[in-house]
Amino acid sequence: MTATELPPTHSVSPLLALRPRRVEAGLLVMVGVAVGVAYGLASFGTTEAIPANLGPFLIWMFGLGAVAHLANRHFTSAADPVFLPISLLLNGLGYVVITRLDGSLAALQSTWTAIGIGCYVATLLFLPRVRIIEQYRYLLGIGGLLLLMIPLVPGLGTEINGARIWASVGPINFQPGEFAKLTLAAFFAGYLVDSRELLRSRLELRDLAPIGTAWAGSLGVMVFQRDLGSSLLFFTLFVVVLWVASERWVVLAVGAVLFFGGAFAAWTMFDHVQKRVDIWLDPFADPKGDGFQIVEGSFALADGGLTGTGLGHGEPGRIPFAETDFIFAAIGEELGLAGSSAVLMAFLLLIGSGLRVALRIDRVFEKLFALGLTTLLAVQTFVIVGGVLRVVPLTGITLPFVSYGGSSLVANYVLLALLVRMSHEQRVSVRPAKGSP
Amino acid sequence: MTDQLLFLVRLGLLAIVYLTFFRVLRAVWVELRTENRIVVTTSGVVPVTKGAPTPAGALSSGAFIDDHGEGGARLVVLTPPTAAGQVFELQAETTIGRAPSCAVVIDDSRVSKFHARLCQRDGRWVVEDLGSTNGTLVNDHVLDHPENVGPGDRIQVGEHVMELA
Repeated sequence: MTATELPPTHSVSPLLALRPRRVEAGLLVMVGVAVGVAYGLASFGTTEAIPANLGPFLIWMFGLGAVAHLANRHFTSAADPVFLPISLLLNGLGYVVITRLDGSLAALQSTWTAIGIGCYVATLLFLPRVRIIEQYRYLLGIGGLLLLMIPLVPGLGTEINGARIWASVGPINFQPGEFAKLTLAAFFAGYLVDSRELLRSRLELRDLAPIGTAWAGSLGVMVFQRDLGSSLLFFTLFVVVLWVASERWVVLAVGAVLFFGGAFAAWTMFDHVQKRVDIWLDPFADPKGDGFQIVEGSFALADGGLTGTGLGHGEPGRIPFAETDFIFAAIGEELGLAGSSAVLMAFLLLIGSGLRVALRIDRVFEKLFALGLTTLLAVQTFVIVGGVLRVVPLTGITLPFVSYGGSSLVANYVLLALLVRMSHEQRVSVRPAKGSP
Repeated sequence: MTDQLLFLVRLGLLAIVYLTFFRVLRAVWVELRTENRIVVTTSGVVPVTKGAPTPAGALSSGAFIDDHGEGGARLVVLTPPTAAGQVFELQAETTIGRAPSCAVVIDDSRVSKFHARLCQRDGRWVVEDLGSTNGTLVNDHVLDHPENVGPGDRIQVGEHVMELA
C-alpha cells in the first residue's frame, strides 16, 4: 500500500462483510426447521394429521425469512447476525401457539407478520443512517405524545377490555402506543444528548424537571388510559436512559422513589390497581372469578412440567387471553419448562445483542437510542412474564414478537430494524477500512 | 405415528431450539474473540483499554496495518473533554473530516467533510489542509502549505485538538 492511493472508504471487503450474513443464513435455516417441526407437531396434536397446508406454510415462512435476510445482505451487511433469527424464532413459536389456540387469529397474525417484515425492510431501505432521526427528535417527541393521546379522542379511540389504548380507523384497530414507544425512545435519546453535559456536571432541583415530567406523563397514561403496563414501560425507559446519559446513580434512586410513590398513590386511589395487587398477592382468594386467569396460568405451567404436554395436547385455551397476555403460560404448558426457558433465553440473547450495540457504538445519540430500544424489549418481557409467573402484579402488555397483535408485531419489527441498522453502523466504523484482502 | 416417536420429535424440537442458541452464543463468542485481537483498527474511533496497548505484531491478520511506519503512529484526541482519550490509528494516508468515509471521523459542525490529510512520505508524516472552510491549525498556527509533523505535534480541526503520538 502506498501513499498515492485514494482516501480510505468504508467499503467493507466482501469476505469480511458477508461472514455475519453467512452465520445469519445458517441460524435462519435452523429456526425455520424448528418452527416447521413445531407447526407440524401442533397440528398433529390437535387433529391427529399432518396439516394439509404444511407446504404453503413452510414456503411462506422461509420466504419471509429470506426477504428479511436479503435486505440485511443488501443494506446492513455487517450487522450482528443474532437479531433476525432470534426474532423470527420468537415470532414463529408464537404463531404456532396462536394457530393452535385459535385458527381464525392465525391468518391475521401471518398477515401482520408479513407487514412487519415489510416494515423491517422499509426501515432499512429508507433510513440509511440512524443519526437522521436525531434531527427530528422534538417532532418525534410531540408525535409520540399525540399518538398516546389518539385513543382519548372521542370517535377515534375505543375502549377494549378496560384499557383505552385502541384507535379505530374504519375497520382497522390499532394501538398507537406501540409506535409511541419508538418515537419517545428517539426523543429521550435526542433530548438527553443535548442536556447530558448539564446533567453530569451538577445536580440541582430543576435538573430533576425532566424526570418529573416523565413521571407525571406516565401517571397520566395510567390514569386516563388505565394502562398500567405502558405507564411502567415509559417511566422505566426514561429513567434508564437518563441514568446512562447522566452517569449518576442518584437518578436510579430518585426514579425508584418516584416509582414506588406513584405506585402507592395509584394503589390507594384506584380500585382497579388495588384489585390487581390483591390478585397478585392471593389469586386463590377468588379462583373462579378475579384470580381465574392467573390461577389457570399457574396450573398450565404446572401441567407442562419439564418438557410439556406436547404441542396440541394441553388445554391452554381455557386461560383467558392465552394468545396475547398469557401466551407465555400456553407455551409453558405445551413445551414445558424447557420450552418456556428457551423463550426467555431467546429474549436474553436478543437483549444482550442490543446492549452490545449500545455499549460499542461511538455516537452518543445512537448509544442512548439503542439502549432505549433494548430497554423497551427487556422491560416489556419482564413485565408480562413476571406478571404471568406472579413475580410482579399482572399488567396487560404483549410479549414482544410472540403475542398475537398487529401493532405490537409491526412496531417491534421496526425496532429490530433500527437496532440492526445501528449494529451495522457500529461494526462498519470499527472495521478496517482498507488493507483487507 | 406412535407416541414414542412423537415424544422423540418433541425432544428433537427442543434440541433444535437449544442448538440454535448454542450457535448464537458461538457466533457471539467468535466475534468477541476476533475483536479482542483486532483492538486497533484503521478507521473510526477505537477505545484503547488502559494499560493494554495492543502491539501491532499481535494482529494475526497482519494485512490490516502492514503499511505502518515503525511503531504505528496514532492521533490522540486531547480536547474537547467528550472526545478526549480517543485514539485513531494512522494509515499511510489518513483523511480527517466529518464525512463517514474519512479514516478519522470527527463529529463537529465546524469541521469540513474532508478537512485535512496526513500522509506518510519517506518515513515522515506530512499534514495538509484539504481546502477546509475553517482551516487547520498545527501547533496553534494556521496550516497554509503541507508541513512535516512528528510525535508531539498538535493538529486542530474545529474544536478538536489531536496530538500525534
